[in-house]
Amino acid sequence: MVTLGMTRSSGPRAARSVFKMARLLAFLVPVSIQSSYLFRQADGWLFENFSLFSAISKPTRDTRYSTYGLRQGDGTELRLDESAYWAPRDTRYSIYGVRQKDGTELRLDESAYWAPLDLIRIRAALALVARASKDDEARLLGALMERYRVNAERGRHRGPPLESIRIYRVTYDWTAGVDHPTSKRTLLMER
Amino acid sequence: MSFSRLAADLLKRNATASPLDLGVMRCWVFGLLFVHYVRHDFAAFARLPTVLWRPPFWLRSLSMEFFEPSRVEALHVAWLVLLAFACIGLLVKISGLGALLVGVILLWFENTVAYANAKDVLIIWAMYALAVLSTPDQFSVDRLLFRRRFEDASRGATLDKGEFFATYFVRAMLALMFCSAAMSKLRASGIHWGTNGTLANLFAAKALTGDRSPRVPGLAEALARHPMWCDVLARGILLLELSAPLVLVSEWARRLVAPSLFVMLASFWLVLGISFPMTLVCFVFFLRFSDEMELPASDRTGFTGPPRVVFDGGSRWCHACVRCFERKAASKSLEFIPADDARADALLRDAHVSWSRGCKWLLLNGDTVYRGSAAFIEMLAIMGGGWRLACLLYLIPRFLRDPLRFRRGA
Repeated sequence: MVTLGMTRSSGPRAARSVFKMARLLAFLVPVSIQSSYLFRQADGWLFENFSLFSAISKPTRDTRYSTYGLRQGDGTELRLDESAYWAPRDTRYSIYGVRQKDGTELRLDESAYWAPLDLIRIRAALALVARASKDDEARLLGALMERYRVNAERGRHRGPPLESIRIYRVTYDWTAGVDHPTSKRTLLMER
Repeated sequence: MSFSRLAADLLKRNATASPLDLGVMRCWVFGLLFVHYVRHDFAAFARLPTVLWRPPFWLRSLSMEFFEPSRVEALHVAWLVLLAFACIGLLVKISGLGALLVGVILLWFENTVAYANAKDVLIIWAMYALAVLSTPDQFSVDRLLFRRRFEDASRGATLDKGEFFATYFVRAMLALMFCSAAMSKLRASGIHWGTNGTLANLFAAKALTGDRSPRVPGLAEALARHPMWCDVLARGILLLELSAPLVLVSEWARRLVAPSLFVMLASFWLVLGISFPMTLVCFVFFLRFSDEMELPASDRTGFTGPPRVVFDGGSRWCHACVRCFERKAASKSLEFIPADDARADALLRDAHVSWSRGCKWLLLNGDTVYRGSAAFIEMLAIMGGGWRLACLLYLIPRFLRDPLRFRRGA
């Protein structure tokens, strides 16, 4: 018969030291993983490098619209994808509703209309469905209409009943200064 | 003394929290989570198109259909019940672990739809600290319901409730979060982030595009008109974020840097309308709620008489309170001694406790010393009955509660 070299009092003591070791590990593992994000540019969930507003560097492969200009004189191309050419300007999805009564538009870029969906998530979702299919696009706009209605019923906003919802791509330009902004918009989706 | 011992001492000195502190932190964290998420409609995410489902590669086999709206609603209800139990301290260990587990599932699900938001991360680590790294059973309903069990347990050696691990863990994760954000800015944009008007441009973009409603309308535009000041502000932000780890090793940094980081996060909400409510809640781990001290074994008086109270004899308010206590709690027999009495000197000397200037109350109950407003709360609790509800005053942080005794005593 095999006997373990453990007295009655050493049992709880051993259990305590195992517990302490487990707790130390439970402390060190998340702290170590999060520490590693100090030295690398990768966003995940639960462990992040919190790169909000830090102008993250682009990955090595990226597909997107690219802007080129033709030089006066020799007509050669010049790539204009540097933000320096366009700043200060900003392009983003903007949500508008069409009132049921008079058909006039109403800007709906407020989280209260869409809660619990926030604007960053909605914009990310719009970009995803724009690349997917018209069905997905219609489904997302339908879900947004439903959120608007539910939040109105729950008293989260006092927006009017909507006839339809429109998504615009709006470019704001404040090259002439903060006090003289201009904006240009293009209709992308409607339901 | 070895290096590891020195380091351990330094860390412990900078993360002193009592079991009562941890209990109050549990109450705040789970309670505010309950309030924040009680009207949150997680099922709304389950009704979005499946094309938005973005799980990590190791969970690709899990379909969004698994999270059907009714199932998500049931999970939400379960989470709220567990949060409420954990807040009041009913079945602390089970409700804490349950709240962590269900909360991770729900928040993970939300952040797998279209976009992963970093805002919720810290609160998950706060729940983890309270459920896994510690046993915050002070300030709980469990203590009232199972009093005998807790008394039996405390008769043995003083139990380690993990208060050091829990508070230090959340502080470390907060510090790493801010430091990672600063490193990210430096890596992506270099020092130019603080020198070429980036912040002014950000303020202009937020103001002109009319995104969200800032709490102070017009402030972002006003700031955007002064790019130089915005650059100074940006450099200040970088410096503050980089200095966040100092809160882990220095008491003065904790008093200076932690409130500054809190104000910085709150300013995002005021100026840009971007809020981090659950990250702000995590700052509760920088607060102290109790002011109690167990006498070291060598200094224990072995005194078993009634609890003794030393009070400021020169304060009219203290005298009025003492008269009130003596009238109402005659049967509870608290022994009151003015601080300028010779008996108070002897008592404080025996207990190796100092009577600091400006202190109004000190309670010696068995081998535990309570100071300031904590002593006053304990005196009310000793009176029993409805007076025990005074323990709820522990929910007010000590730095807000303690100054009252100075004003009243003036």
